[in-house]
Amino acid sequence: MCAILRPLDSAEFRTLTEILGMSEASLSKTIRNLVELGYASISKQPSPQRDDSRLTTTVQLTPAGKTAFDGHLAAISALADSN
Amino acid sequence: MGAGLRCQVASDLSTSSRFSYAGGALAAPSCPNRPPLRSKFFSLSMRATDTVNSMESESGRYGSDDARTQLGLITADRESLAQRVAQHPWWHTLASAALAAVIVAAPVSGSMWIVTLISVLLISASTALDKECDKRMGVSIMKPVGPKSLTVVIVLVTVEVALFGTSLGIVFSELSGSIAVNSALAAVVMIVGLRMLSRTMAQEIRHGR
Repeated sequence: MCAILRPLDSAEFRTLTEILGMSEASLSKTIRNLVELGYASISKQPSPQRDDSRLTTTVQLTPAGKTAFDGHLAAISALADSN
Repeated sequence: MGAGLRCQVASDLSTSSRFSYAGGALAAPSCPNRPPLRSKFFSLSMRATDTVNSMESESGRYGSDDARTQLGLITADRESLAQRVAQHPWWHTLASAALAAVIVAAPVSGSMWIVTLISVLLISASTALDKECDKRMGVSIMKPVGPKSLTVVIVLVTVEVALFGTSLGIVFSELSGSIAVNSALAAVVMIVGLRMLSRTMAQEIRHGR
């Protein structure tokens, strides 16, 4: 999910479930944990495109999340190239 | 398999990591050759693929194989996002082209006040249009993804501003030229520029910039 959020300013929760093929429950849990780690933030706003009164959830990586993901990517790239 | 692994990550996020902190960096005690990692992502994602590579773990190939699996997942995610970004809504492109054409043609009014008013109003409309486009696409990209898309944006804005300046020159400084041609050029440049921008951004997303 972080690979998707990294180049973006933000993404809607619904879009992330579509792209990742994850269930809403799993994605929600993942996002909650990333928020607790300080790697992501969420915002909710009403959307005229929704039929019900639920708010649209938008997710974005924090600067700390972007830095952590870049570090993670560099590390696994080095690891993959090591053999 | 990708979705399954991601779900595994999600379920593992709430459990304790098998990796330990060493001086602020994450290190894997079972893999002494693994470089220290300064991200919690690694421990989270490594647990996800433990199930897949448990056999390889025993044979000592755990690190690089698992890293390649992770890179494969990241590449797949980037590809999915790139496809979405490449499918830029046609109505946004056409509306942006129409706005650019009207702004470039605004000097034909003959009054700088009207030109300023039209420009401010239509630039505001363009911003609102961008936000609506982001909402419909489900993702928001407010700035260029990489150096190539930044170049496209700079060239696009420069050409549009030059066409607008030329229109001002034609009306107020009696330069030779046609505002209608300028306006049509602005629309065409906007269409080509936006299509090029979405393709370039998709390409940069695929390759991680």
